[in-house]
Amino acid sequence: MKSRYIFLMSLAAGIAMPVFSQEKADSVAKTWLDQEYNLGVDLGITRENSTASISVIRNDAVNQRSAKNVGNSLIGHGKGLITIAGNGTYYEQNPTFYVRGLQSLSGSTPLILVDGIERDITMIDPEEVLEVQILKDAAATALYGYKGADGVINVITKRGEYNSRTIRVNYEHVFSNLTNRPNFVDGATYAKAMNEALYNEGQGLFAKYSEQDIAAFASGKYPTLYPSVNWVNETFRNHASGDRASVEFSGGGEKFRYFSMVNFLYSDGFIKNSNRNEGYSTQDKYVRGNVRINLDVDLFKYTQLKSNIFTSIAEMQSPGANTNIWNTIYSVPSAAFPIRNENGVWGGNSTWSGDLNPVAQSTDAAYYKIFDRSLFFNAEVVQDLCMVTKGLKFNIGASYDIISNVYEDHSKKYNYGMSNVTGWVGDEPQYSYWQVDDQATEMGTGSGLSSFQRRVNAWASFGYDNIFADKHHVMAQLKYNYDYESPQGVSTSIYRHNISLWGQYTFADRYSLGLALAEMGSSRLAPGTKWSFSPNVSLGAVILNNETLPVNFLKARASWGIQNLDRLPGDNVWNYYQQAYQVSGVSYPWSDKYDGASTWGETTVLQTPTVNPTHEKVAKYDVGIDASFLGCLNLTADFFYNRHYDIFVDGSGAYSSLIGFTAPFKNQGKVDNRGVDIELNFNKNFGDWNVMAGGSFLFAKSKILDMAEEPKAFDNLKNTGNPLSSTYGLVALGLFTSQEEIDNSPTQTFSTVRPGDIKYADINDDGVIDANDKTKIGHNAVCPEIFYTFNLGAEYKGIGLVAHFQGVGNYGCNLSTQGYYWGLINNSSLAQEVYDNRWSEQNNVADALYPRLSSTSNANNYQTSTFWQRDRSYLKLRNVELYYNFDKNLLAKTHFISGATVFVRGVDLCNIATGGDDKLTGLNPEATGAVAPLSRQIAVGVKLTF
Amino acid sequence: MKLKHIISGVALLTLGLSACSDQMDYKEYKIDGEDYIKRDFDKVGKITTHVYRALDYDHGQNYGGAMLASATDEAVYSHQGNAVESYFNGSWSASNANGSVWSTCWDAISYCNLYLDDYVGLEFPEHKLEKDYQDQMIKYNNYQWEMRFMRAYFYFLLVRQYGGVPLITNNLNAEEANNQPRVSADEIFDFIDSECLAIKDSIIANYSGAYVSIENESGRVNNLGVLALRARAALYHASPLFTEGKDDAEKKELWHQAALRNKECIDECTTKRSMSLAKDYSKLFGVDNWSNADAIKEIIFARRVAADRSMETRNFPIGMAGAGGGNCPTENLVSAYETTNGLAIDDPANTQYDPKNPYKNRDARLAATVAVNGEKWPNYLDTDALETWYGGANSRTVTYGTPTGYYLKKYVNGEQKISGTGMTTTNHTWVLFRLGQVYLDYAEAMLNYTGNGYEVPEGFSLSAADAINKVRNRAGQPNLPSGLGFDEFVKRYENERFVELAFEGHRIYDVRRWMKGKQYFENVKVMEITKNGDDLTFKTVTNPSYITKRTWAGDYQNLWPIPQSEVLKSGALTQNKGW
Repeated sequence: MKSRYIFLMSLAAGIAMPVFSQEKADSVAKTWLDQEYNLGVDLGITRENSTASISVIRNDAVNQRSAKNVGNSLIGHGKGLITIAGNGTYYEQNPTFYVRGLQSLSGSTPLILVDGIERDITMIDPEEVLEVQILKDAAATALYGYKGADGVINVITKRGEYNSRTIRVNYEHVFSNLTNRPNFVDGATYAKAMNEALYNEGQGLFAKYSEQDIAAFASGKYPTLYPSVNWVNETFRNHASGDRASVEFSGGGEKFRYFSMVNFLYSDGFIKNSNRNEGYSTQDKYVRGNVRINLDVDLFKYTQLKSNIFTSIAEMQSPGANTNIWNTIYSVPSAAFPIRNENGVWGGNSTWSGDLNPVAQSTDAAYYKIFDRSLFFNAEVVQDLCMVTKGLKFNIGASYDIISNVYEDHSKKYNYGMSNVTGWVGDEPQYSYWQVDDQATEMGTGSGLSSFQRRVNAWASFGYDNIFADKHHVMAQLKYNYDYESPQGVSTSIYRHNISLWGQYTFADRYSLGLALAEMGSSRLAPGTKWSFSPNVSLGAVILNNETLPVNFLKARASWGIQNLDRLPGDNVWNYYQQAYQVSGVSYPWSDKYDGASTWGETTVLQTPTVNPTHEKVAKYDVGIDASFLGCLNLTADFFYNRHYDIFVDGSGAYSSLIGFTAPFKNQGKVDNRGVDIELNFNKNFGDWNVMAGGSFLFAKSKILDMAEEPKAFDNLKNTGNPLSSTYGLVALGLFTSQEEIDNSPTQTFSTVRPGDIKYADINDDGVIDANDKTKIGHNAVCPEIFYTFNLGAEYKGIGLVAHFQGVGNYGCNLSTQGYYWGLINNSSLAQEVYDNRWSEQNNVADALYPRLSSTSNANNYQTSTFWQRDRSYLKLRNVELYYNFDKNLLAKTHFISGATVFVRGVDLCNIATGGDDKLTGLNPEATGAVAPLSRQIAVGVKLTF
Repeated sequence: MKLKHIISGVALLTLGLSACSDQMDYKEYKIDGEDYIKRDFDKVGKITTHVYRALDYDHGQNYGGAMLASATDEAVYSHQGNAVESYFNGSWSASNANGSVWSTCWDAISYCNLYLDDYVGLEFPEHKLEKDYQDQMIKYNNYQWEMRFMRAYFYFLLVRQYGGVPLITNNLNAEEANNQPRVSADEIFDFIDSECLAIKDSIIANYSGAYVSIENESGRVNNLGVLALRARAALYHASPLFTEGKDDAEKKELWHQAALRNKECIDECTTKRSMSLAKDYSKLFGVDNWSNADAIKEIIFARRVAADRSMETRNFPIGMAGAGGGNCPTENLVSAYETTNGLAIDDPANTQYDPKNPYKNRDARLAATVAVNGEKWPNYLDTDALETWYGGANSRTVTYGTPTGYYLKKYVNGEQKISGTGMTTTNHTWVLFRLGQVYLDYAEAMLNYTGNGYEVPEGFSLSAADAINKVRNRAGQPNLPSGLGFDEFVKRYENERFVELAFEGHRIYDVRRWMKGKQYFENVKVMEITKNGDDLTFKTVTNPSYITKRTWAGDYQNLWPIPQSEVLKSGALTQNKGW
């Protein structure tokens, strides 16, 4: 394989190079204070002089996850940013972000920018990125109009430097293997479990499988009649690999700077038998190539041009018609059918269609491809207007982005069948063979566009920055932003305008007053409510700024602002401001032909319009400090409080049914979100040792104050007053162990209750257990309330070790995984863990981990309840890296290599469930559904600088 | 050069801002408002579609397959744990209110009010020159009467279930909706009565030929439907549940009025429209009951349901592919069918009844309603006859098999293919008013008005017994014996109504308006059949352990609770007593 060859070459080259010592960094505090903030103001705002709450994740410190994109690279780095890892295939794995937790009934999605422009980051390679800024408070997000109120993530790409020339070559090889592979019962156990389930339901002891059948499953003597297939092992291998390579040319001359990068990514998946077909493979694969060119040209003395061009082409392949093969693994029990019949036809029958056969799906259903193409372009001219007045400048710029995803469906179908046992004659089973003959097809030729997006931004601004009388520092900016997005589909085009006036006055480098006023318009909102105004005020006071004191620097900040969101009442709900009618095709068969009366149709009155509609707003408050101690320890701490109000909520909870028509949406929702956000960073040299440590902690809790909730007969049913997305369900008291206990307990009305079923608490005390006994039973399963990270690192003479840990708390999940926790029912698979720990007559205990087995369904047990609720808190070792930087003095002797590093790193190596008694066992907290298990990676790589 | 930049920049900015207003109004959706609807006959007429579609029928769609019959002594639903069990398992409460009727009726009433407020008196000038304009206008002008009938009908559905409700006759805005107090049940009944009176002579009497150039619509409600609604509402108004606290004279007058209104309906049907009872009872519930000449003689107004097979998939016997078992008739119902000699099966004098062969010589309506052991059902299967004996292929030993020993036939199309290739769908028309039922309503009113089953007062031509006998004779049953005392007559009447109207959606309301829930709804009888060789033994068992125990919680359950959330949302609604 070519990439391996390249890797070995590079490794050999790296090792052969002599060693050189490393330069000392700037003062830690100084670098930290000089950190430039990118909040939509092009005036050189830094941490030292800003009044905003912004965190910066420097890519060189975190790019240790060998991630496919910058989003995945950010997982576990905190600083106000909550990252929830995605699951699925490599291609599908993208994280979900929240800035400071859940925010509103209408959503909590932050705005994601690349170089200040809203963009998809799934194609952006971590190597392209200089840093990621998390804009959190009112002062930070004020200029982002309707979209920035719930936080902004700004990914800033690298740029060249004057009078330099650097070539960097990076190469990594990544080995992956699956963690928490599910373990299902074998054929004989499945048959026994099914018999037991039927027995529990009042049928005989061997209701479905006879003793002879079970023995046949166990012996394996008749693999096509009595199969016992370990689908996980037959379908998937346990290892996969990938390669990442990039070449960077950066530098500049007197009037010209450039950064250009080409990078390449390859990953293959876990399909075991992907090469059974001549001419093509059915492996899960992902290949991507990116090119980025960032230019800075000093056109004239006072005129500068900046431009970025980024293009990415990616190709994904998956077996079959892009089916979720892991899902079929959870659906098909080991005893369902054989992989293949004796005649070579794939296994499958009328209960479990052969389309579910995971091995057949992964090897004989051909493949499906998705091609992703992106082109991002932006350019800006900066004109210094010092000839007009000192400190004045003018910026104008525009961007144009397109993304398209096309698919090509080459999947095919195959025939399947199975022999069914009709009875036993003596010791030999008799059977008849059944087969679906007409299913097989040639490879498909379907293709088409799956999504497409265009986005145009344009902006122009006047900036002013001047200091009067050595102590009155005035900065101001008047800016106009234009934003047009047009994804595929109807009614998806949105125009937004944003006119903002930003200013900051600082007295004697100590006391600052910031002001941001924005007037914004959005075509999404109702006529008359499209434009809105956002005032934001912030204050800053530098209390200490003296490198000689133990406390080198201390600044207090406070900010307040009212910001707007143009979220609609629901997806594509445009007619909320006007009564609409709909004429549809359904009819009533009046006619003498009983035919739907000349196919007439029905006029329906759509939702009653909102009276005096407005739009959602948020009042954001933040108080914080930035402090630096002893030149080596930096601290930022913030208290924040956001109140979203006028959120569109469904009025059906507020209006009686007497209204007849669907009740209107109301701008009535109100949600609080408050918490604390701390980050700490330590970096110090002790002789030849450099020690780093850091951490961040976020606690953010939401509370629904008003959601126009329908009045509830019992307080336990209310959502108002609880955090967003809380889990509601019944409170389980264990399992029934006898019929007497059932008879003496309140009636449970879901289905007939038998011993081994879950016993519930009568929360509302009405003597009956029903849906009215549901209450808040746990933390939400969407976004943890506590998110913390810490990292440790040390370097000695070029050898270093760095580790990043990340954990969450106050994070729940309610187990309902079909075929796993909720096994056996609906013809699904059954997990060994559930079988081993189930209630049975032999294990008649109230605290068995799983209830009695059920054959078809069991409405009593499979309710959302505390029985299935788990504490999903975890602590993960996100990444750990051991590296060696070769001595620069030695490298210098080569006259062409100036830096060389080799490293080995582990990603997501270990996971500790930190919950209490109800902590999650079995599956990984980040993938509890019937989805692909997560993987852990070991990567080895080399970085060379020329 | 620099200046140029500035100028072009400022120009672009100005341009951008001036383009704002256009872009701000940019949209790719359209909102069709009232004007758009008012332009065409069709679009206005399609409002009536919505209202007709709100008419009630019971294929089990409201309770996951269970019909309301399974909330009564007519049937047991074979899927234990179904929501319909809340009617007797103790979980029925104001916060588990079984309240879909509440919201459906208010939805329909608001459409009627909207129509009557805003869509009456249009002239459709754009269509004036079209050749069918006159006919379209006839059709259009009748909508207002149809909508007033519908509004009255939905108020009837509300009052029979909730008693007095708010009386809303104009379209409300959202804020007003929360401020509507309930009026008395009397006021609602009076409203229904006066509305029916007001429209009975205006609404089209016979749609056949009513408008020539456009398609005939026999499915719309005519004046007989109006009279039948008025008659039934009067019967409910006179029933014990709605006359608590009234003196005997008032009660008697209400029965009198009910008798008069039912008489008017019968007279209009039989004299003016030459309707009569269908010869074949089973045709009234068949797939062609909307067009079959025999059936449409009797059916006054029915809910037409688009062709489907849900009745069959839900109620065909367990053991055949795709079947659900469903609403299984009880032994309570089956034993209510007399033998053909007119005697009850438990009558010691009955020599016709053979406990070894219990389904022989029975009232013909049994075979039209219930599928019994040994019968070939559904018709088309080549397979053997029904096996509902313990351990049989269709018995309760199979999951979801019949717990009562019977399967439902009424409204179930025995020809329907519900699995495999060539699955079919057929029309199902749910009878809302039919002449046979009006005769029974008349008999009940007359019986209670006169206090005697055989009296024919001044101005009437039929006694209660005469009316009942019409229904009995059609089924081939002999006349009721003469000389029955009042209480004995009531018993015979209630039995007749149980049998004649089984599975037509009446039982759950009839027993409640009679206030006899405790008497009828606590005990369920099933037929346990055991097979020994070729020998079958039939044994009636009451309340076996394998069906959910039924409890009548009290007479407060004669009315439904108003959904608790509705009471809490509204500033003016009060809850029914006892809930």
